[in-house]
Amino acid sequence: MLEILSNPFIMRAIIAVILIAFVSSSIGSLTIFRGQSFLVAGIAHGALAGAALAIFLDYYGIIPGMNPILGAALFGLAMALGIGYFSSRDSREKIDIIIGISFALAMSLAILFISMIREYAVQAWGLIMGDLLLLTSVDLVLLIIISSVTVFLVTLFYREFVFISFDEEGAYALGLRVMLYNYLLLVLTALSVVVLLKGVGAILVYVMLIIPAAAANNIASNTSNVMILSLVFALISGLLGLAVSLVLNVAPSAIAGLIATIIYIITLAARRR
Amino acid sequence: MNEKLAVMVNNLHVKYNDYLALENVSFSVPHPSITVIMGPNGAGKTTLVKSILHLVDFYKGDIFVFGLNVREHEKKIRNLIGYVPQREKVTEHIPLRARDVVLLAKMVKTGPLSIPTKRDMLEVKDALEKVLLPKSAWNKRFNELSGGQKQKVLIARAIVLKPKLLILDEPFSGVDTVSQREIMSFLSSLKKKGISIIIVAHDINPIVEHVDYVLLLNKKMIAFGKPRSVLTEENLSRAYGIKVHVIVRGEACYAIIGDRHA
Repeated sequence: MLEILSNPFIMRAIIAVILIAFVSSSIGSLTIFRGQSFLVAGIAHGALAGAALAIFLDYYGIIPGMNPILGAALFGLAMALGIGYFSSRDSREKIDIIIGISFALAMSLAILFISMIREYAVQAWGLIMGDLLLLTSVDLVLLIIISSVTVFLVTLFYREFVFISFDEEGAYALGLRVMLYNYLLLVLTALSVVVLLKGVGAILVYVMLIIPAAAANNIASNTSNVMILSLVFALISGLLGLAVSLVLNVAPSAIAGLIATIIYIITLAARRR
Repeated sequence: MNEKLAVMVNNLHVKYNDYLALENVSFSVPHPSITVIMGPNGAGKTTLVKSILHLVDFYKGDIFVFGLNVREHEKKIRNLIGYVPQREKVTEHIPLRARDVVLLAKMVKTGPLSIPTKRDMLEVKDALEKVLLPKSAWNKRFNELSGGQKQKVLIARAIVLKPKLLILDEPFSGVDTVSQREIMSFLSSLKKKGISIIIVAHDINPIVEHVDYVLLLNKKMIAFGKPRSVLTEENLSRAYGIKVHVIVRGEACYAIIGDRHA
C-alpha cells in the first residue's frame, strides 16, 4: 500500500482527484442550479479545438512552442464568453441552442485541426481521453491554482450565484449585478474545464464535473447539502475509479465516470421512492 | 422624495426592436394605495412594471418612484421597491427551502460572506408568519409547496426587505381562492401600514373590493381611476376587443370577460 502511495504518478493522481472533487462540488453544483449542464460539454469541446490549434501552430512553426493548454484556455474562455453574450441578448430558453451550435463549431474545428497535425495528433487525443496517471507536476500546480481560485470565489459569492440561478429577474430587480456574476461563473467554469482536460479528458470532464452534482441535487434537502454531497460523490467516484484502474490496468477516468453514473442512477431511484 | 405619489408615469413609450410595446401611457399612483394593472395578453402589463423598475429601457417619457426619476436613481428606487415576479419565472429544481428563499434575499442585500444574525432570522420568521405560510411548510423545498404557498414565500421574500412599494406580477395565477383571499387581505394590511401595492392581474373580480385604482391597458392606456369609473362595459370592451358585461353590486363592480386566464 505504502509502496503504491510513494509512486509520484499515483500521488499526483490522488491529489488531482481531491481537487477535481472540490471543483465538481462548487462549479458542478452551480452549473446544475443554472440549468446549464450542457455548457460544460460545450466548453470542453471548445477547449479541445483550442488545444488542437495550438499543436497545429506549433507543428507548422507559426507560433513555435505554443502550449496546448494555453490554446485550450483561450478557446474555452472565448466559447464561454460568447455563449454568455449571445444568451444574454436572447431569451433564456435558447441557451441550449447557442451551446449546441458552439459545440458543433468547436468539434468541427477540433477535427479539422487534428486531421492537419497528423503524427502529432496523439497529443490532442491525450486531451480527448485524459489520464489521471499521466499528470505532470506543472499540470498539478495549474489544477491547484485554478481549483483554489474557483472554490474561493464560489464561497465568496455563493449566495449571489444561487440567487441569480433561482430568480434572475428578481435578482435584477433587487439591484444585483447579474451579468457580472453570470460572466464570472462562465469564466470559472471554462478555466475549471480546461485544467481538468488532461486528467479526465474532454469527453469525461462532463461526467466528473456534472454527474456528482446532479446526483446530489436529486436527494439533497438544501443547497449546502448539494455541495457537500457532490464533493463526497466526486471523491468516491474518483478515488474508487483510480483504485479499480490500478488493479484492472484500465483508464481511471472511465471507471470514475461509470461509478459516478451508477451513483446518479441510485439517487434518481431514491428520489422517486 | 415625494411621499404623496408612489409612481408617476409621464408619456411612456417602450419599444422592443421595432415592436411598440407601450405607447403614450401616463398616470399617477397616490401613496399608499392598491392599484391593479389589467388588460389582455400582450397588453404591455409586465413591460410597464419592468419599466417602473427600470429593468427595460424606455425610449420616450419619464417614470418617477416617490419623486425619484428611475433613470437617474436606479439603485435607490430598487431599494424602495419589493418585486414579486411571475411564479413561472422562478427556477424550481434548486433545493431551496421556503425559509432559505426569504433569507437569501436578506443576505444578498447584506453583502458577501456575511453571517445571518439573530435579527435576520427573526425578520425572516416574521415575514413568513405575516404572509400566513404554515410553519410545516417553512422547511419544505420550494418546489414541494402548493401554488399559493410559493406565492406567499415570494411575497415574504419581498417584504423582508421592507419596501415602500410592492409590485406583484400576476400573483394570483394558479392560486386557489382561499390563498387568494389570504394574500389580498395581507396586501390590504400592508397598505394600512403605509406600503403601496401594484398588482398585475388578469382577473380583478376576486380582489376588486380591496382595490383603490385600476389601470386598464392595451398597449395604450385605456383608462385609469377608481374601479367604478374604469370598469365600464365600454372601457373593458375597448381593452379586450370583445363584448364585456359588468355587474355592479354595492360599491364593487364585477367584469365578465371572455379572456380571463385566471
